[in-house]
Amino acid sequence: MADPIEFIRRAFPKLGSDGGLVTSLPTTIYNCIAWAAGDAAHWWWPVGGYYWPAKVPSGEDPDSFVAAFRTFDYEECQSDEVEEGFEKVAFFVGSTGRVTHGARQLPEGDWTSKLGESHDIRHPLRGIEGATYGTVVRIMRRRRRSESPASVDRPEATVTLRRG
Amino acid sequence: MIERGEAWRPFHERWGQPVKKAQAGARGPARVAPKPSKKLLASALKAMELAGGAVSTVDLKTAFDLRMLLPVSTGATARILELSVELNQLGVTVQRLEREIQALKAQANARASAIAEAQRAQFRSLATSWREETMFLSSTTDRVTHWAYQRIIGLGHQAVRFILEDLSREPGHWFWALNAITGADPVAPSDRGNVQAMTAAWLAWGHQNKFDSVG
Repeated sequence: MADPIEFIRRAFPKLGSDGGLVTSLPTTIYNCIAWAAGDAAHWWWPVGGYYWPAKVPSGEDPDSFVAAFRTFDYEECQSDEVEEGFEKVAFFVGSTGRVTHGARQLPEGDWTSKLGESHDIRHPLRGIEGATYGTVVRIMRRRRRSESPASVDRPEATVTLRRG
Repeated sequence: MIERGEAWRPFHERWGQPVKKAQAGARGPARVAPKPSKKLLASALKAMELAGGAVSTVDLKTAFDLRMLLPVSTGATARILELSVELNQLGVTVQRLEREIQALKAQANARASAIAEAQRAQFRSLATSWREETMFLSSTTDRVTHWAYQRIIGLGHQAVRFILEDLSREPGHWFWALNAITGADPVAPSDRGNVQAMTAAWLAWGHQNKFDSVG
């Protein structure tokens, strides 16, 4: 397999200019939606036999994901800017209309994403828009909690994605 | 069926009357062994064949022993020798056929191993394509409808052991394919999303269903 960092740069070309940071080693244990919810022990998805919150519609449309995060006290909002005392998540939708990705905002304003079976990265929210994930379509927020997941960057795995 | 021990008992004990010396005061004349007839001899040979199980156990030495045991005619002894030679030749033929069967089995095993290796290589190639082309995706639909994943499912049951081999090296998202191929669903509802527990459940299923003891 080719250099996985190069794979990330190719899949998300905007990160080469907007900046981005690989913050973990790859793992198949959790995915973007779990990571957005602060869970690094499960793979969340509404179909396919994975974890999905009880009594939430199990479709891959954005409404199902919004409903799932409502069960964790998130509410929809319009802005992806940092708001004092709030934490935010964002959902991406591709050309098929299905959700492709979820990201979580960090306190300093950057976003953190788990890229499928690959690495965690820090990035500008729109830096991963494009052919792979499509565009951001829904943003949600909730009051920041004391147990809210912090960034768990692993220094030994940190690699910058900016080119040059 | 005549037991081996029975067959090898002296014939005069089996078919003839017991030989007893005339005893003083005994009633009637002493009994003596009858002269074996051709029919008796044929029965003896048949009994030996049955008792020996394999024709190769009857050889010239047996014929010689028979002649010593039985006061048979010269013609019958010659026939015994003929039959013994014939049986000996059959024994040689059986040995040759057994060797041929062993060689054919070895050939078939080697071919089966070569086919299994080719299939394993095909699986690995497809799995690599799938991983590289879906590594950033979370959507189950996008991941399992990928062409390489679909081709792996298309390999059918022969893919199961390769998938389980892969799973035994590292947890991976082969659950959909395993379910699609086998129809089984060994993951407890409480373990859904716990990739390590899901992996363990499928490996245990593979062990129970003997997929880890093949090839």
